[in-house]
Order: sequence, then C-alpha cells, then structure tokens
Amino acid sequence: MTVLGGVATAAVMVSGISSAMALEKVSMRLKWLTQAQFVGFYVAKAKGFYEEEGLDLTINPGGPNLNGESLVASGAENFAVAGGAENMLKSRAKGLPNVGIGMMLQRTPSAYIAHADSGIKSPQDFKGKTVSTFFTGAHNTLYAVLSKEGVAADDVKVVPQAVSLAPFVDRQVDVATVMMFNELIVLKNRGVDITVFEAEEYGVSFPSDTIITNETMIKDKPKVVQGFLNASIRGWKYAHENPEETIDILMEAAPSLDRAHQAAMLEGVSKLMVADKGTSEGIAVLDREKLEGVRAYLIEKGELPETVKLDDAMNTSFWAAVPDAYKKP
Amino acid sequence: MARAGYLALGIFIIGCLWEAAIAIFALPPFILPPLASIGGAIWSEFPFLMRGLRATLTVAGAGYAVGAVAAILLALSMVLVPTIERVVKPVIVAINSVPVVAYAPLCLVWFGMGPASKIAMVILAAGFTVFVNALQGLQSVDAAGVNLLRSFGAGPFRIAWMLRLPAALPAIITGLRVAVVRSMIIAIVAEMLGAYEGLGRIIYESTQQIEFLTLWAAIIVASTASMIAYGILVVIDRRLVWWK
Repeated sequence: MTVLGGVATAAVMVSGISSAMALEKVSMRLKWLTQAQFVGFYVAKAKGFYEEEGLDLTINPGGPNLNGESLVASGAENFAVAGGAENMLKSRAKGLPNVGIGMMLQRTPSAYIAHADSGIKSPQDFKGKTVSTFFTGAHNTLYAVLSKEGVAADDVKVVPQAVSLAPFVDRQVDVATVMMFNELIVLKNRGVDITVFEAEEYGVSFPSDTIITNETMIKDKPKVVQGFLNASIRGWKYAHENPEETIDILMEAAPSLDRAHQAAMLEGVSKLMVADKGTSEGIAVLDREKLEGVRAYLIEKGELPETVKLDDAMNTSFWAAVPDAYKKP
Repeated sequence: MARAGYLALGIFIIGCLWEAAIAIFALPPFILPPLASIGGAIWSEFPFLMRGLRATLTVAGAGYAVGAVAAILLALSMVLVPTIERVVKPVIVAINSVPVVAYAPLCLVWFGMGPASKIAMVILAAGFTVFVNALQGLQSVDAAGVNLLRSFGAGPFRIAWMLRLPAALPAIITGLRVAVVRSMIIAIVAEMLGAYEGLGRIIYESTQQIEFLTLWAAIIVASTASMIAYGILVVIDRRLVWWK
C-alpha cells in the first residue's frame, strides 16, 4: 500500500514538475483559413491564456480539402473547430472517436440570398429555381428550411456553390447560400440589392463550429482538454469585449487580411456566439435542446441512425467546469 | 495475357498488404477501411459513382481530344513556319511554367462552374504534353532525308506529310499516352476546386461529409478508369507504330 502510494505520489510529483518546467505541446485545426471567425483562439494565444493552463498551442489553418473531424479522429490534431452540429453527430455514426466539448455559434450561420428584383419573397418561392449551396454540411440546413416551408426537395434545383459568388451576381443561379458573418457583409458593402432569408427565421436552428477532441485525449489527458477549453473560451470572451484589440491581434497573425471586413466579421460572429444560451449560460455552451432538435431532424430524414445518442457525440462536463468568469458574457 | 496476369498479381499483393496493415496496426476504418467495405460502397453507390465517372470522362475526353489535335497542328505549323515557333513557343512555355490548376480560379470565373472550365484546363495540360513531344518528334527528322525529298521537288507540306509526320509518330504517341493520365488527373483536381458533378466533386464532398468509404470508392473508380484508358492507348501504340 505504502509502496503503491509512494509510486503514485512520485508520479504526481514528476508530472507536476514537468508541467511546471515545460509546456505541454498541443495543436488545433481551424475549419477554414485564418479569419475573425476563429479569432478567439488567436486572442487566447496572444494573451498567454494557454500558457497559464500549461499549454503551448499551435493553431493550424484549414483549407478546402482538409477535414478537422478526420484529423482529430486520426490523432493528427488534438483539437479542431469542426463543422456544425450535424457533422458532430454524423462523425459518430461513421465510427469516428470524436467528442464535442463546446459549440461556438449558437445559431445557424447560413442565410439564403436572392436578387431583390427576382420576385423571390420567401423560401416557398425557391420552387422551380436554381439554388446553390455548400455540400459540406450547409446543405442540411437548406433542406431543413425547405422542409419547414413545405417545399419538396425535388422541386428545387440544388447545385453546388462555387467558392466565389460570381455565378449569383451573374444570375446563373437564382438563390445562393451565404455565411451571415462573411459573404453577406461583402455583398451588402458592394451595394448588391438582395433579399435575405435567414435559416433561423424559418425555425431552423443548427448550431455550428463545434470544438472537438478525441476519446483518447479525454481519457488520457483530461486536464489538457480542460485547460484548452478554459483558455479558448476565455479568449473568445476577451475578443467579444475588446473588438479593437482583437482585430489588432488578428492582423498581426495574418497581415494580408482586410481589416474592415474582419472587424465586421467579428461583429457578425459575436452575434451568433453571444445568443440564446450563449448569453444566458455562457459562451460555447452545448445547447442540449437545440442539438436534440438537430438530431431528431437528421433521424427523420434518414441521415442519422437512431443509435447515435447526443451523449455519445458530446461531453458537457468540460464546459461545465470552465469558470464562470471565463464564459459568462 | 501475361501482362494481365502480372497486373492481377500486383493488385493481389497490394490487397494483401492493405489487409495486413489493418490487422497488424489495428487501423480504424476511417484511416484505412477493409477492402470488402470499399467494395460494398462501390456496389451500393454504383449508379452515383458512374454518373460522376461519366462527367469526369466527358471533361477529360473532350479536353484531351481538342488539346491533342490543337497541339499537333501547332507543332506542325511551327515546323513549316519557323517564325511561329519563335513567337508562340515562349508564350506556351510561360503559360505552362505554373501548374495548370493555378488557373482554376480564373477558369471558374471565365467559363463557369460547368464542364467548360474543366475542359479548358485539360486542353492546356494535355495539349502541352502532346505539343512538347510532337514538336520534338517533328524536328528530329534526318536532314539527309529532307534534302533527298527536296531534291525530288517536294515542298514543305509534302515533306511534312511523307517524312516528318511518320517519323514523329512514335514521339507523338508517347505524348498522347502520357497525356491520357494527365487529362484524368487534371479533370479530377479541377472538379475538386469547383464543379457540379464528377469524381473530383464526389472526392471533395465525401471528404467534407466524412464519407470515407465513398471517398475510397471514388478513388478506385478513377484509378481503374485511368488504367483502362492508358491500356487502350498502349494497344493503339502497338497497332500504329508497328515498326518499332
């Protein structure tokens, strides 16, 4: 007993010493290139929040052919800002050992746009029209909106959307999908006269930008997971409260970005982040009620087997343990 | 026949190594799925994959045909009128000194998300490969042969038709063969960057939607199609250049 106890104490001491001496190296993958959508992590890094938690974090930008879910599942990355709630659930169905530990955007980030003179006044008018969307998860949201509005998916010609909005501006497609914190701002600034249909307005609330890690991390290094989440959420709260300084930090990390656009993006992201339970309970909360709604929708559409339960796909204990001072906006 | 045997043996060995790797390293299916499940995915999504393959083959085939014909005509015109070579060749080399896919964003803006933008990129890539080989073949004709025909009163067109083209045929066919695989590669990569349909789009979307079995199925279909196309060109090569 004493021998075992001694060994355990020694082990605790060693690990304590090593963490005091050297920071634990961890990495995360963003779902897209460096931009204000992910600025909270850059703020936390610049402010030394990760170091305070004993972590040395490397932030790796994403790209069109990278997938955060796969990288975390394989262990190539410790954490990722991954896709929406639907991807969090679907990756469980595919056997990926990923677990959601936080959710950055409490509301659906996508909206649909039509030219103001097109005569399209509601999603019901999408019937017989060409609608472009991203087949990277966002298509689920579109189909959910159509289904809520009683439009059969077959009545709409849904095509994949190009990286640029040129086909929409040239009127090759009637309706296009936009991220409310990104393309929508660009179009409005250019003075394109458009009608906007926000998915949220039609009762489709699909939270997005899940913070994920894998089961091995949770089992072997729960303290690292907790430290990462503490620092990240703290960074996001700081970003929300200090937008000017936040954009300074972002511009230093990625000087080629357009400052004004990034400032507008941060404002847009903040609105989706500090919303609903993100306001009442705290930033990055996993809103069980909404997520259960997403799950029910996917099951109803045959996109998800019923065997995938919410608690397999996410672990709320880490978020619950984040100090209120860090997460309460 | 013997070649087909070796090919089957090669595929069998790769298959064994594949399954052994899964067993030895206990690889989860999202890293390396068992071949049986990939086969299952090909089976269950066959119509979907074939629709993608048809789109990719259309793009690759159209671009390849146009690119190859244009390349041979261009090389021929350069042999007949050397000034064209001096003016046009540097431009062609300059355009091809960057990877063709670097033009993808521009092509998408100019020619749209449909097949036209992909065909344009394949024309560029396949055309250049055939062009380089064709020009080299057409120019490497024995000078004595040219002089002999000339002494019989043959003009440049007749010399091109009777001497240069047949002599250049092996080089041209080599170019055509290499360009087949290149056309498929460029078509797929271009589709990954923006397309309505095709194997490249299936690969891109299944990556994003974490459908790793569909991803592998699309890769295997693409690879098989490329090998068949290459095999056809090998047969044509043997028929046309029988004297080699």
